[in-house]
Amino acid sequence: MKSDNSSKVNRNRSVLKILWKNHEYILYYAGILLKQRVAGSYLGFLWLILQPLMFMLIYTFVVTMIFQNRMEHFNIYVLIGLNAWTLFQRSVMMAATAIVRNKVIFEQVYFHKSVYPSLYLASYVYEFLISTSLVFVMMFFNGIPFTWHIIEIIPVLLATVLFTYGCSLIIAHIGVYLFDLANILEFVLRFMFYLSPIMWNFANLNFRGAWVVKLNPMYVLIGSFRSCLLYGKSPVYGYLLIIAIVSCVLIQVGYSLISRYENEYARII
Amino acid sequence: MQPVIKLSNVDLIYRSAESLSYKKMLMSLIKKGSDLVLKHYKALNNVSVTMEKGKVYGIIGSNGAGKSTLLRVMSGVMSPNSGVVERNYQTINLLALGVGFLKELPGIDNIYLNGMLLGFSRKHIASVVQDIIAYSEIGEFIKRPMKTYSSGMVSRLGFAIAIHLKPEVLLIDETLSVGDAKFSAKSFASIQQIISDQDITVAIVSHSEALIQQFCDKVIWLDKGCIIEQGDTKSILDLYKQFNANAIKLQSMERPG
Repeated sequence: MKSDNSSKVNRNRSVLKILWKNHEYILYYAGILLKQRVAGSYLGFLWLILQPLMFMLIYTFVVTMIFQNRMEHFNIYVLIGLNAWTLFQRSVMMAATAIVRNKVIFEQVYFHKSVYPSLYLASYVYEFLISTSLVFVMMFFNGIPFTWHIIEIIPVLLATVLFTYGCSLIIAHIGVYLFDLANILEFVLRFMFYLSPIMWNFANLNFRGAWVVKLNPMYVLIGSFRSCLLYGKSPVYGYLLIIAIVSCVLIQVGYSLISRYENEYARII
Repeated sequence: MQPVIKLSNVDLIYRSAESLSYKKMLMSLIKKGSDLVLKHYKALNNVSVTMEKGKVYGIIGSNGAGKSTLLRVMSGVMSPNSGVVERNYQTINLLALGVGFLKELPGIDNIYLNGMLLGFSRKHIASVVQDIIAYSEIGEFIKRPMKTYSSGMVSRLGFAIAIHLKPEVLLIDETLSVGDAKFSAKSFASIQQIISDQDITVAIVSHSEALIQQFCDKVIWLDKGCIIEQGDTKSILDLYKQFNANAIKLQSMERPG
């Protein structure tokens, strides 16, 4: 924890350097969070597989039985969508309280405050990887061919993480000042959930101006995951690049906000 | 020699959260001229301190004098509103026992978590983890979730971590007695040993004049956020005692009977 001059601490540093410097702690803490989430339960780590499996079954039941909307391999279709969405939604939700809830830590030790949202994001990435293994199992049972396109989920995941981290940083900053943010986010995220193609398919939308939903980055990201896994195709890298660039701008904005105001956090909370 | 920590003309102001309520924000928008009335509280006022390597500093003063705030500024968790803080060290521990422990997880995981929090590598922690467990006298419980620990066990574990992962700068906020009488004596001896280590710079906040007298090379006397005096332990303590005696005398004179 070397810092030469507190008023200059935040200059000459980038968010990448900060994350790299603390990567050992971040990754360890992320694993601990995962452990904490299942601690005390009888089924333990099995829950990390069971949870996406149960949600997959529920949504498949609701859409195919109640809405009578039949689609081949819908179970995998919805599972991939849910995995990506869960990563985004939970990370952003936790970001709203990421700084406040770690008050005891940052009163004791100095970390750049942009580290806190990354702890939760990293642990949800672990969860994502576990639930993605469930996708592979389901693909095997549904008889979907395994192609080399599967490795292309790595850049898609990277874009998803960048986008999620960008949103998380900005929300983490606002969350310090606006305690109601978690409540507001709940509605926003629920709306975004239905706007994302998790349970539905773009081909089934028949209203004017339906193309607007394509502006949602999660639309592109979820579609890209499905391309690699379900359809054995490459994602559209042009779209991913645009999302990555937008995300980097979001990260930079969030990082500057936090750098500028982080000294105030301890005095306000 | 370069000082380990140097504070120059440091001011620190707390702003209370209630000042940010919507009601007040709306009121200030509607009523022209009624500016946002923020509750300010100046916790440190023009404080300058130079800490040299290996020295032990005692911080004294009445309640609310800004002693704990001063430690926080030294440790870097709080930045001053104005003034400059220079720091030249790699690891620091603001000794607060059991901070950052996750109750659902076993003690052993918490040792690693706490150590990494203090800036030590996983490898280094692994090399002392057995010593920590032995010192804390927790035994088999180390593999059980910490919610099953007694409060004494929690603070013993926290203390064992702090003792074995030696930082370059140790800041102690009145937490010198831990556990039962036997462990308390042991922890006191360990603190003594750390304090006498010539490589470790220490700052202690305490109300115990005996303790300050025994351990500290220098004393900083704070009152209402200002430094009243600082210097050699004996001379400052004498002044402080005299001041307190006078204050008590004054009080008893004001109250008849």
